[in-house]
Amino acid sequence: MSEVQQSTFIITREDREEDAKTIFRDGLRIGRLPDSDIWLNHPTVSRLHAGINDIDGQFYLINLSASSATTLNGRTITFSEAEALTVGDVLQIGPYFLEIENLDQVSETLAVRVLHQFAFHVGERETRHMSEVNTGQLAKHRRVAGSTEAVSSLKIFWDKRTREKAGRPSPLHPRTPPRVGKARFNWTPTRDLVRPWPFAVFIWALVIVGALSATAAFTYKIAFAPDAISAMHTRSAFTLMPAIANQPNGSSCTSCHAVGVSAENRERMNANCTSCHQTTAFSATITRAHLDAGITCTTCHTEHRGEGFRPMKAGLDSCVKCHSDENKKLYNGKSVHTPHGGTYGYPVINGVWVWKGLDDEELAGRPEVIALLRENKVSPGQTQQWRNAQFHAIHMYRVRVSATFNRIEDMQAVNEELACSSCHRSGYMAANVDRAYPRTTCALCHNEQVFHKAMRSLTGADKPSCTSCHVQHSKDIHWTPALRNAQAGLSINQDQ
Amino acid sequence: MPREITHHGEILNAIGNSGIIAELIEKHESHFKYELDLEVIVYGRIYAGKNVGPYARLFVYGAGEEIIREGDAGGNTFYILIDGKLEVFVKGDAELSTRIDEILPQSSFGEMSVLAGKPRNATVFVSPGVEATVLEIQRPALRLLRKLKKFGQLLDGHYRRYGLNQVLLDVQKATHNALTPELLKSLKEEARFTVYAKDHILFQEGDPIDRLIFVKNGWMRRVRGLASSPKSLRSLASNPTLADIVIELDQNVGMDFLGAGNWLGLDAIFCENQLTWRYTTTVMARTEAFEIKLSQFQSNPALAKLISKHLPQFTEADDQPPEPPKDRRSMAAAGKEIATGIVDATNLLVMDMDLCIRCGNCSLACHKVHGQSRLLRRGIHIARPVKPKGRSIQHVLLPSVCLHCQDPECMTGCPTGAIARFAAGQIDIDPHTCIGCGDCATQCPYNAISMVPRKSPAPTPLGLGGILKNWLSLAPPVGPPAVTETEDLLAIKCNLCKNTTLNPDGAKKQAYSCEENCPTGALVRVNPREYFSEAKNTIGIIFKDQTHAIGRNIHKRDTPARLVHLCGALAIITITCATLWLARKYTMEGHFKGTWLTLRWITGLLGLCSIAVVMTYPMRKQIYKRRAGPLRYWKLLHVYLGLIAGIVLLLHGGRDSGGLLTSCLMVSFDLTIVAGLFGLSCYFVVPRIMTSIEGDPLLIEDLRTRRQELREQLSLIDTSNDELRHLIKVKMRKRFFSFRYLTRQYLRREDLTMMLASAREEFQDDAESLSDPKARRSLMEAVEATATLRRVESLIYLHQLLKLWLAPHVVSASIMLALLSVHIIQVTLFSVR
Repeated sequence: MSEVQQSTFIITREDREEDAKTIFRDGLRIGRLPDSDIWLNHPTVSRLHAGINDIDGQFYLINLSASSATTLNGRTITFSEAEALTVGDVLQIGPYFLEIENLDQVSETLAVRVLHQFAFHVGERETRHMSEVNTGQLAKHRRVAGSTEAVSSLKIFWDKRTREKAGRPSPLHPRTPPRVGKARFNWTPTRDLVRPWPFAVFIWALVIVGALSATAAFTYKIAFAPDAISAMHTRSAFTLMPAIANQPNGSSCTSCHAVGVSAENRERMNANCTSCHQTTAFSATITRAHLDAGITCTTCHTEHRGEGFRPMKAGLDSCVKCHSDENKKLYNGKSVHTPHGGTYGYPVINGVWVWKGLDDEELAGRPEVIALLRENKVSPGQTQQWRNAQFHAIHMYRVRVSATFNRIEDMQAVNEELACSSCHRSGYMAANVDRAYPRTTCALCHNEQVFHKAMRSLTGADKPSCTSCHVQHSKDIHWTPALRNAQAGLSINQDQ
Repeated sequence: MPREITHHGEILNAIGNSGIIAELIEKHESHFKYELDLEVIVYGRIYAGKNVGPYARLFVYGAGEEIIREGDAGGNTFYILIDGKLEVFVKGDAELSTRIDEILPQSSFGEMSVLAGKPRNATVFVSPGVEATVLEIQRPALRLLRKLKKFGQLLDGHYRRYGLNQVLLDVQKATHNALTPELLKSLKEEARFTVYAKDHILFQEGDPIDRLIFVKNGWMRRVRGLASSPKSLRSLASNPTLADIVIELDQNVGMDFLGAGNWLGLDAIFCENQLTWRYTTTVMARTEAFEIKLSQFQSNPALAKLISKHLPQFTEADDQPPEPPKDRRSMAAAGKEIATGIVDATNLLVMDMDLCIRCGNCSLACHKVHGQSRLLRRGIHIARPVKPKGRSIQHVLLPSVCLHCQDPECMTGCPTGAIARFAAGQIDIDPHTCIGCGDCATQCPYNAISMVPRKSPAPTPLGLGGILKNWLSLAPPVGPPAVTETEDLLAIKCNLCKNTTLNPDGAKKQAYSCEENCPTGALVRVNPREYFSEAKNTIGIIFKDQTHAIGRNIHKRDTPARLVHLCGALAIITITCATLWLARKYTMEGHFKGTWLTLRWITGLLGLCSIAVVMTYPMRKQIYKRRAGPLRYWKLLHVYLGLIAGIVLLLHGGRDSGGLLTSCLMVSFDLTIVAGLFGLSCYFVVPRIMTSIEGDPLLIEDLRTRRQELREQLSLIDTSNDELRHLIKVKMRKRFFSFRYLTRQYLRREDLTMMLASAREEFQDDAESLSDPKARRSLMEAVEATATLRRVESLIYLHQLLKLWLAPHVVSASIMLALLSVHIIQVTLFSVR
């Protein structure tokens, strides 16, 4: 900062009718440029014509114009030459006269008064001695300026006001201006006016999402809407009498579902099944083992598989889905296996009854079995006989000779009660009894929904299945209608 | 209706009879002395196909007809009475107008309104029973007529008289009639009205007090204590940008700024001895003042008595010499505000860069309303303390957009009078009168005027193929093209959205498209004298000008926003608590008594409603041409309801994610909210990091240009010296192009100069190890360029970060909406069945 030599300049313009101006500058610039400190607007004045600088406590006039003349007290100063100034010096630049009114080297103040040639007698200017100018004419003009109020304040009003220069821009600013020359003020857009994304993005997004969802709608129909519910759940009147439900469903969703997918809702759905399917003809009971393993109504009887879907058939199909050696899952800590070692086997192994017989509850519901047990006078203490008698009682009264029995001679016995020989071909007692053939006859009935897809077509509601032996819903009176007809004569235990 | 006389001979006669401008038709050796001016004023001239002038029209007004009305804006024309008699009525604040004067032929009226750009201050009627012939002259002619000696003097006299009267009236008004009639009269007689140009030194410390000065308007800087300081320091007094350095250098130096409405030198009247000024005063911007010479008090002791009795009552005699400033930053800010002239704006656009998210929606909004954006986000940057003596700094940007100056340079410089001030206080350009000379654009100190072609190119019909291409092309969008023509242009500038659909007739409050469409409330239009408290404090008596914007300083207090914040926070807490409580009490599926409603339904519907309101925000962003409420409130609503929807729907879903569809729905919804919250936190943090490291706010394209420049500069560095090459390619690269150096920019947030200095220092030893001085210079150049490059890059990344979150937010929101509609269809179908 110590390099900067600032001086005070007091400029009085008599040519321009404005108030005296005091400025602080490192030097005074004189010229035709409007931002000069002393602006001399005349064609004979160069744009930067001359300067006055304070060099080491002495004011110097420096001629900066090579083309136009600068004179000091009538003496021409050559280009880029500097001349020391003293009080009373008069410079002439074009038609202007600049008088050094006051000069103080201590406070570095220089007062200069600017006059226009009109102030002088134009014709005499060339021959006039500068000393005369100093005394007579200038004094007169000073008086004129002081006596009138002709200093125009409007001059300043109209004067161009220039903005403070911003200084050096920071190194982060681009060095190249966006536009130069005549087009400098032309309207130039910025990136602000560019929308970040082309509009087409939205259209394409719409198209792609639309196409994807349309494809998905066809491919994953279940994701958009589950398949229709089975025909029986759409009916608004009972077709089965006595009814197995409290009221017909009539396509209602909310009789089973609450809105929303959650564990509680699924549980509630099962509760809904049970509460509706609770009639005298049918009670939606589940065996203890299944209950403990968390098997519920919907585990076996899944809905929404189309109109032709039959919940009972699906339920039967589902048994072997779990009960298979392939299934390594544990249910309530127990593993499941393919039933009967895959044979749908024979209740006697090595002459010993392995079938455990009916439980008490079930037995109570089968009067024909009890009758036979009484007839044979067996008691539960005689384990082997007890089981034997039960087994034969069940089969004798419930199974009819059917076309599937392999013997041609028995064909006329179709739909008749079984005889011993229907199953056992030879032998009568103990070890002699034929146990080879019955094995195959058992399988004819008890094998139908097993491993072969083709065999499934044979399965019918009136055919024996897993549930023929392992009864799930023990109070279902509609089970196997063919049998029911036959049993019509028997006293069937009516549920209370 | 006045009758116009179009005959040129009559107009020339009228000018001859006008007395005051008769000089215009003076002849010198059978030629008109002012031939060219006369032609322009009376006949009009054609410059390169553009009409300029005529500026004078002659009217005959019937008896009792009104010529100008008090309070009318415009001030584009003034009048000279040629024949007849006129009556002047002034109403002011009173109920009824009172006749105050009459106008006789050969005098002018209405020119002060033209000069000062203010509404008419009187109503002028033609006297009953006579007709009046009046010459109506437009503003541009004033500049030409000013050359005429008589008219020039007359105008100057009017200006001074008007100025003095106006000051006294203003003082009277501001002080509730504190001046007594006799004091007023004396002041009118004795005081002298002067105008000082910028950089003029009114007086210096130690000069004897020779006058009393009252500042009408303008700004000055007072410095004390420099008289005894070294000379190099003294020179700083005139340099405003170094203001703070002065203070740093010397604790004894006092400095402050002085605005309008202050008295200087009052002490001297009360004192018998000759007093000296105790400070140096420099004019910072054109200043109007009136002065009374002290010698006049000696000859008129009554005046001294009156002044000493009345004046100190309402202005603090500001003769307390300035103190060393307590808050240097306020001082620097005030200095910059005054020096750049923004305090003299009547309607200033201020952008708080700590809130600005650099979205550019303001420019876009301007573009949509006007066809070309008149708002450029480059400009003057000021760092000012939020509160006096407070620690936090507010970075404001005054962008290159018209600030509707008190005396606009563009207006005085317009050769055709196309620029004028209109009723709402806006300076506007009349496209029919504008000839596209570009003078105003050159003169505007704020680069607020730009040139566009007069005829915008007719849109070519696209055809079906073109429309399809427009709709389907994925090419990156291009903005409107820059104007390349240099002929047949038109100047455009901000007109405060007047005459647009945004401000229909009868609208109570002025709306500005940029302000309406700022999403964060960073941008606001204000009266700078109210906004910049540091400058406001220096004004003595506040002169209210009706043209000043009645801005609401939302940076200080934004009541609706506060209300939204409060309601939003309360709603979030209430809804969360209520839902949780109800869920405990009824469970999600539990039916409320006697209804089908469960909490699942309620939360779902509430969430849906919230999402519906949330989606109004992107829709609101498409509205630019009409008022639709400030965007910042919509954004707050968007954020709060988004949060509420998030919470409610999270509870709606519960622990179970449901099926594939609902899982996707939940995931996309959560993604939307997470992206939104990330964006929100970016909006809070990033601008503040940016302002602390960027200095003057820059546009991202400027930064990119600079990055390119710096890369080119680096590639041009001569690396023929092996050692230098190794240093630059290996060591310097490793240092500056590291991730660590990038994060340093964000974490340390050093000043750029300090950062460059430390970078140079790090490589000082390496430079000294180089034997070739040229290589040394090259190394330093490379070091500086690379460090600067990293700063530029760090800023570019911040700019990008502000935009980054938007893509995931929008994409996941779209997916969410699509899945949501499926979910709603499902649920509705389900519940109907």
